[in-house]
Amino acid sequence: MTRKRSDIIAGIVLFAFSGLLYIIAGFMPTRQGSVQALNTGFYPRMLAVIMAVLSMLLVLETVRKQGQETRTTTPWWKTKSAFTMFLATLVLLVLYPFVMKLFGFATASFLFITTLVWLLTEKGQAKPVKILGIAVAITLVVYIVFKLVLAIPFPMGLLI
Amino acid sequence: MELFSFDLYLSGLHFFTNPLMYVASFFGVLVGVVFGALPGLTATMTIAVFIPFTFGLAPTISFAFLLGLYSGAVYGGSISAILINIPGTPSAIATSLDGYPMSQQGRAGEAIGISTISSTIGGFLSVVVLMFAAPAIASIALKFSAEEYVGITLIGLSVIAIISPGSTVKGLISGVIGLVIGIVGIDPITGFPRFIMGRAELLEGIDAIPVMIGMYGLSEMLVQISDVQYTLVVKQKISKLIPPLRDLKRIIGTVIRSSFIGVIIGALPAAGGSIASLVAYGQEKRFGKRRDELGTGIIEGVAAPEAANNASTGGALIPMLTLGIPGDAMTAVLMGGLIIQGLRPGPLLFQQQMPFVSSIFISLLLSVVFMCIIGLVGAKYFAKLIGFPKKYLIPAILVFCLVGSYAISNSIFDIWVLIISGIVGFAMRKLSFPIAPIVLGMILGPLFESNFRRSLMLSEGNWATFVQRPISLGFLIVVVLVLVGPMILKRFNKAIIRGN
Repeated sequence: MTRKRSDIIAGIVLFAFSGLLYIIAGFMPTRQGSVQALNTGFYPRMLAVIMAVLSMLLVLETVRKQGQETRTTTPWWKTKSAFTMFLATLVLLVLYPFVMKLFGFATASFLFITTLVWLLTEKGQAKPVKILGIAVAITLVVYIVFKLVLAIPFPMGLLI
Repeated sequence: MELFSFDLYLSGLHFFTNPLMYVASFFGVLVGVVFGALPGLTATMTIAVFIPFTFGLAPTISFAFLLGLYSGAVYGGSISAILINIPGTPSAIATSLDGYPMSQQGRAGEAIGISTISSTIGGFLSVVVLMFAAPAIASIALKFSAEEYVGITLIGLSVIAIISPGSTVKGLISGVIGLVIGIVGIDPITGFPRFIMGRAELLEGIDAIPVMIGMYGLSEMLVQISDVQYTLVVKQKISKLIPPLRDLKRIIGTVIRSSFIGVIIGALPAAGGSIASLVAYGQEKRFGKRRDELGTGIIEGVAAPEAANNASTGGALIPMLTLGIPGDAMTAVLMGGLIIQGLRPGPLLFQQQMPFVSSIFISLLLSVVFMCIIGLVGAKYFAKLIGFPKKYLIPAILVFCLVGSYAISNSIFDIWVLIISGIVGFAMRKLSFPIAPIVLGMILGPLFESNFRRSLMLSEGNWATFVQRPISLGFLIVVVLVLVGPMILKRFNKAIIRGN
């Protein structure tokens, strides 16, 4: 997908979003006879209109740009390793709050760091002791700062 | 309020005897320099990620730390710009133009030394200007009414949209997205909950801090995760850090000139350190004594941008503290740090929280002193840190983001806000929508909305109220000039070219 096409799609998506915003804002309570600005839906509607105008401007601006630019580098989602890494990180991020609730934040942090460092290390170069050592060190820093110094009440997990 | 009430300065003097101020400032600068020096970790991100570390602290101590981070990170960016030609933060872009050639000639230590001294002088001058200009501007701002605030907010949003790299329309869209994020929560006027999707957590609006950490910290790490393979190594020995007297004499004119450029540009809405340093470098190229040698690795080329970017720190704090309108993304994040401490920046801060305002001056001053010491003593070690493998750095920062977001209000919900903002930020970076306007829009949103609607309420729905007050009209004219000016200039230039 070229930048030109992605910009047009972005413009259309934003336009649809502003339409949605405008409609939802219409369901908000209004007061008869008073100044419009008092109504709850007034300000969201105004932003929706501004956004709609801007998103159309984006589409127009993109269409008017002369010449189709050619992309020289491969987009990031097409290089397999980059995309896998991206997805893996997202999965780890989404798992974090669940693991945190279940086992405690220190365990969650330790598992998160260990897995991600291991994934980021080139194949065949992984030294388990070093990875575990680094993960323990970072977890310790987080534990000392947030649990001991700032005394943040983290969810009581099965572990720490 | 009197224009220069000495009470403002005296009321905070006792902070000089508080050892915690020194400790907080020292660690702030140290962490700031380290993060600033690491390529890919911007000053904005550093402040966002570390705000949760300051919760339990008193506002004064917390700000000693945050302002230390701010100065340290802006300065630290020069170290990697000089050593490996990759600016650690955007405000060090101009520094690499002469800093890296100096480094190639084996004069890295000298370049870092000059950068440290110039940053120190620039930072020092900016504290002085902040101390005198801020109370004066605050006393003027006391007279502003809702209409004027609407105008200033619009100036901030339009300037940041214009200067953000890429399309202005995209910049404006980002700003509006920020404003839209700001409408979630209870309507400030009618009390009706908007877009809360049944979550009690959203009644008070989306917390700005997890969004900022997501947009700046998490999304940046997601971008970097796809290219972690290369490792940077700095082999050069760092020596001759303390510049000889004749070098200092040579650059002093440049440093003072650039510092003033930095303070003034910093104080303009939305124009921060990166623009200040580029303009200062440009001025040196036009008016400097050795303008022909610029780019080949001369000390003036390092001194000008470095003095300017640190000078912009104090300047950028002026609109944030006096009007509650942050000048750029960095001060927007700092303002987030103020708000969670329960302090609302604006002219009233100068009346009601004199000791705190006074402590800000002291904190910034301390951070300049520590920056000089840490820079000159620690440069050798920071140079080694640049090679720190990213495969350890990225997971560590991500965990800071996750734990930090939770810690803001001890809520797992904020972790979700963080993750979603991170993904949205990542998508926006990939589609080249600028991030800074969103953050600014989000921080300014509630203020803008209540002032805007209040103006219309008081005028009974008459929109002319915005142009009937002279100052408000002036601000709106500035907005139009900012948005339309560049377009007209472009047409004008084209016409001239065609005419020739």
